[in-house]
Amino acid sequence: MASDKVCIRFEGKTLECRPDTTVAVALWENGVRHLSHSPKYGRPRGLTCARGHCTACLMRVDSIPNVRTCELPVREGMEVQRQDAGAFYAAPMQKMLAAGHAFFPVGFYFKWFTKPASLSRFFLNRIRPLTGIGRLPGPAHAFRSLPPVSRAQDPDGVPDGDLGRFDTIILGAGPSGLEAAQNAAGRVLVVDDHTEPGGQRFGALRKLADQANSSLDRFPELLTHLERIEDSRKHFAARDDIVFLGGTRAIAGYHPDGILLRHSDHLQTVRFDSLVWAAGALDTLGLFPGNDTPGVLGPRALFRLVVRDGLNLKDRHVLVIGGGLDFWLSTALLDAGEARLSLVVTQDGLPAELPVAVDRGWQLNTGLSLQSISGRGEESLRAFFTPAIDDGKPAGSHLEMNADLVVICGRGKPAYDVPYQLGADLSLQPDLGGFTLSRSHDSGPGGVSCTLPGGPGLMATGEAAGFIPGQSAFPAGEVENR
Amino acid sequence: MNKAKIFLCRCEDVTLKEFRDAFREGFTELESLKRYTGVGTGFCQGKGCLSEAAEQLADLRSISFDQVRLTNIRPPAEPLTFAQLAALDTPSPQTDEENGS
Repeated sequence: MASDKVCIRFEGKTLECRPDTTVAVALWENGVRHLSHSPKYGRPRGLTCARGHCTACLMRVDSIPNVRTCELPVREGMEVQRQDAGAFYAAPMQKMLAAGHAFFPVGFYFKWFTKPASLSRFFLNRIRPLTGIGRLPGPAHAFRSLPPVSRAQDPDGVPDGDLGRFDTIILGAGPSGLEAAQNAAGRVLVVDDHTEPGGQRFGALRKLADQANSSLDRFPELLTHLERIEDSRKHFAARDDIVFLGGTRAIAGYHPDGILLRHSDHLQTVRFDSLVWAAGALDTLGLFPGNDTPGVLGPRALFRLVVRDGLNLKDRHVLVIGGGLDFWLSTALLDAGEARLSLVVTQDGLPAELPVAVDRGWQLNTGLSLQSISGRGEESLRAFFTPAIDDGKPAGSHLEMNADLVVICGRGKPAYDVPYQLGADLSLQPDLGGFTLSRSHDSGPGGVSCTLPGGPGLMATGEAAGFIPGQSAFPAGEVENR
Repeated sequence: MNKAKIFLCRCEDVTLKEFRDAFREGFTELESLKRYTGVGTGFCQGKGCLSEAAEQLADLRSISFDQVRLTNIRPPAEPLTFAQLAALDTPSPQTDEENGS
């Protein structure tokens, strides 16, 4: 009964798409790359995080506003619209609003239009609604059709409500989370965003391994990483006493030992005696002009889009910038998907992988630094580079590259929200990517441990502890020196 | 060459320049900068910007990184609907503990 095409409606047009993808990807493949407008400057926004974190993909679907379309599977007859202020106004009005913003600097609402009260009311009720995301198209009664969330047993067999207490809860089933699971005793719960254990890179690595003509076997580092994950998965599968919740996210920590989980529309609470924080890292795109351009994304988003949603990049022009494991994994994945690749390696010196690039015909550049990216959403992106310093070329000469997607593979920033909410002592460590558990705690080869206020134990491990992916363990002495 | 803005916070549309201007106006803690500019108060609850904002702040204040304190991040870490919360038919862990009920 499964058909190979599904039709969705986007602002009056009917679009044909694959049935096994998400709304955001279906729109991208149909040429709609501009999914929303930013609230203040009305900038086009599109595919960015692909995991429901950012605002870029929020749209109105079947009259329900603020739907994360990067996570919503397509359904026949679905009605999708852009929802924010930019969508209501014609181009001249948008330009006028954008120009008007110059007169309203950040923080103005603390200083202006506050007195007298009538002026404040006029501002809040009349001027402010002109912009921003404060207006909804369509009648209010549309919201009565919002479906209730049932309390019944979830179709996937995951019970709603309280899951009780576990000796150890492991948040994240990447390689480090799975290794922690092998050493955990008692009742153990492992929670991961993906439906299968293995982590953010596993799907991409396995897809490459399954594809006969992929270049995976040319990258020893990627092969080692895949072996390590497969090994951990095997040990994990043998432990049938461990409860695994896939497709589930930890979205809050409650002092001292409570966790709130979300599985699709269903929330669950659970408690722990000790917690392993192995939630990995988030993409860091960096700060450069045009860093919010639709189609500029990180490697983790790319893996989700290609592996989970089947984003078809055949003959699309993709620019990959950066270095390290994620850079080459992204490159191999895109190559297997027959994308046209341009690579900009930002590390010093020639990469060891150069022969592979030559053999596969990838356009590889070194010695360039990214200056800016521009693009209005529906057209291709333009990335501007200048030669890195000490090149002998005159300053200001720049190189332009066009692409449909730009993947920036920087150092990921460790996830930190649940440990923070549980009272863990976090500190900013830019050399480790961002906020991680303070290194003044016990740090060993497996991770960094501390005791949370109220008694329960916490260990951060893997990328969430600032470790570099692909390195199996971190020698204890090395942590402080980094 | 390209005068496009550098965005620090995408959800609330806060540019790097606006963040620095706010610092010059006298907001020198991440918490007050968050309230004044809106950095980290959007849909992503700081997943996209707080680490970057903290690094910028350390830079502006010329202090060591470990002196920059994170702002309050209150649960939940992502937006939920009332329907989802209403369907959660269980006492929250906190009230359970405190009331002994």
